[in-house]
Amino acid sequence: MIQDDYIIELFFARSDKAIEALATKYGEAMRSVSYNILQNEQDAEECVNDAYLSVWNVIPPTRPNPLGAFVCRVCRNVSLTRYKYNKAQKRDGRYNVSLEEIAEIVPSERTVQREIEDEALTMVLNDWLGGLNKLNLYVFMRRYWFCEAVADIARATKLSEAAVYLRLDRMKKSLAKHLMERGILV
Amino acid sequence: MNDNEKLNRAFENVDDKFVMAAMTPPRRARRVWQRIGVVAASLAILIGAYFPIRNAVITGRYRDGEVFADTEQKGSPVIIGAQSPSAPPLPWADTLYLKGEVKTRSYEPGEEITLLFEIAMKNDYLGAGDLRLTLKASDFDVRFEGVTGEGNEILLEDAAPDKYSTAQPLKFKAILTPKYTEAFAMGTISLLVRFEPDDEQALLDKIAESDLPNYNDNWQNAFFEQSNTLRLSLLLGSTGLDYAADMVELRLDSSVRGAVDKWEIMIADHYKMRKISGEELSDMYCAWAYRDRIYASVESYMTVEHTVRFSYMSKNIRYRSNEYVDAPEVWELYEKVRAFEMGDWRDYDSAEANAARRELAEYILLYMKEQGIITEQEYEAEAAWMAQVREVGNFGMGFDQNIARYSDVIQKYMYTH
Repeated sequence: MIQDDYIIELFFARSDKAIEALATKYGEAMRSVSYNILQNEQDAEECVNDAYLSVWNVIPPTRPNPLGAFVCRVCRNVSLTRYKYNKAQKRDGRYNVSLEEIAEIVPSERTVQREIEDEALTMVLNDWLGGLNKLNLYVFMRRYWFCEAVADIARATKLSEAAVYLRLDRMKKSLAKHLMERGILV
Repeated sequence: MNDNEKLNRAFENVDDKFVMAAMTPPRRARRVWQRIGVVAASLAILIGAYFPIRNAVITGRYRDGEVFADTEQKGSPVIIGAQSPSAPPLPWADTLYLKGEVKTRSYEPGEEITLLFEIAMKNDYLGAGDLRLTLKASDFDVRFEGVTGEGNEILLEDAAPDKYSTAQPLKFKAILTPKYTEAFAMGTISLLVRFEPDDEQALLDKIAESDLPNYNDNWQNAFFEQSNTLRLSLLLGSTGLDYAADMVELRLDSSVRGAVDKWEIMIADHYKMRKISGEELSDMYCAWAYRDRIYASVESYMTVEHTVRFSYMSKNIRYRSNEYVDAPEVWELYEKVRAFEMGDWRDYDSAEANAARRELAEYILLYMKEQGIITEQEYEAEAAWMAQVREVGNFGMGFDQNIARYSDVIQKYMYTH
């Protein structure tokens, strides 16, 4: 398996092989993220290519660590931009599902504190995520960050689809409680 | 920004270690759960729906804003049926009867569309409870007759077990008023039904005791949520309204399916049936896809600075360069556009981002004139058109799965220069 440091050095050297190496190691994950959001192969391919270009333009000078999370995040952002554009043309992807389900975490009678900074809220989320076991973390992140279908998560974890739903439901309630205890939800 | 967007944005920026942890599924030890507990706040019941495709109206040719009806059944009703033949053997299957009807005929732009609904409980399996119906109708304003609705939602209190029976179903209307009146505004309707039991615990206990499929040692409780949607895709044409309804898929999935582009299905079907040529397919597709949008995008040759090739796509001019050229000014404008993509994706609609995209498109159009790709007259006409166009983007049009199989054909005839 190609090492991340080696791939980054290829970028620093502006080598033609940099993108190829990146694609070999993370291309599948990037395609998966993009396709999960856009639900369209051609759109996803275009966004992955755009993400490669974006990575090419920021390395150097940055040295992202971990590289995998960085490129997936770039690809996700590019795909979300494309998703937003597609949505204006009534071409829905799966991301709207993810948004709606995250929205369900906030009970109808509650709101998020207006004054809380984004960074502070992210810290609270990180704190909650850090308390999850490996399986629950995988299920939660695959559903709401990678926008993966429940059926695919079930297949990967060898859980039934219903069991995945149960875990997601419990975790959403746990997160809501975590946010309320910290005064985030008022 | 609303509260949920704040939460969602914070979630997107979580620590990289959690992203990395989710890239590989963990190895699991087998666990046995013995306790059944209550989780659910409401239980969505299954709606079986079967739509006979033969009642769909197929639109034929489309040329410059005129729609010719190739096959049309004027005034015939579209029945969204009662129970699905493919329902899984679940205890609550066939508990709800729902029927919807809408006339398939040409509608004038802006004309109201009336949906007729009947709803009833076929048995008392779910016990006492309320039914909540949510009619999501993008690009339509919704009002109800025959029931009291709040916005696009109806709450039928004490609906079960016997207030609305098949002997005396509740009949009501949903009246949709299109928000758009220009050509080819697209509307999509979905109807979501949820059952809210009075005694949630009793219902969950009842479900837990029943013979459920997929039972295994990982069950923590007997709750799962099901929902189903009816979908009507509506297309407003310049001379009328045309639509078809979609067969609803029965799934253990609480998500609402994405919209289906019935126009694309229709023209794809016509091409498949050899009613239109490849050139006509491309023409129709481009007329629809670029009816009110312009795309100008740039692709760089990564290892050589400023070397680009570009595309310009509109209803009048569709061009994509075959070779990379050295164009530092184009690249500089494109960098400005890309700056918004690298940042918060929510800035995509900002005034600055829109201005940057428009500037890039204007420059590419000028570049095409100066390179002799388009004539002076074409340039003047296109510049006038661009001034009217609301959306200038920097992505090319993708192809949805409905028409992706013919993307080669479309692209073969797509380019005007």
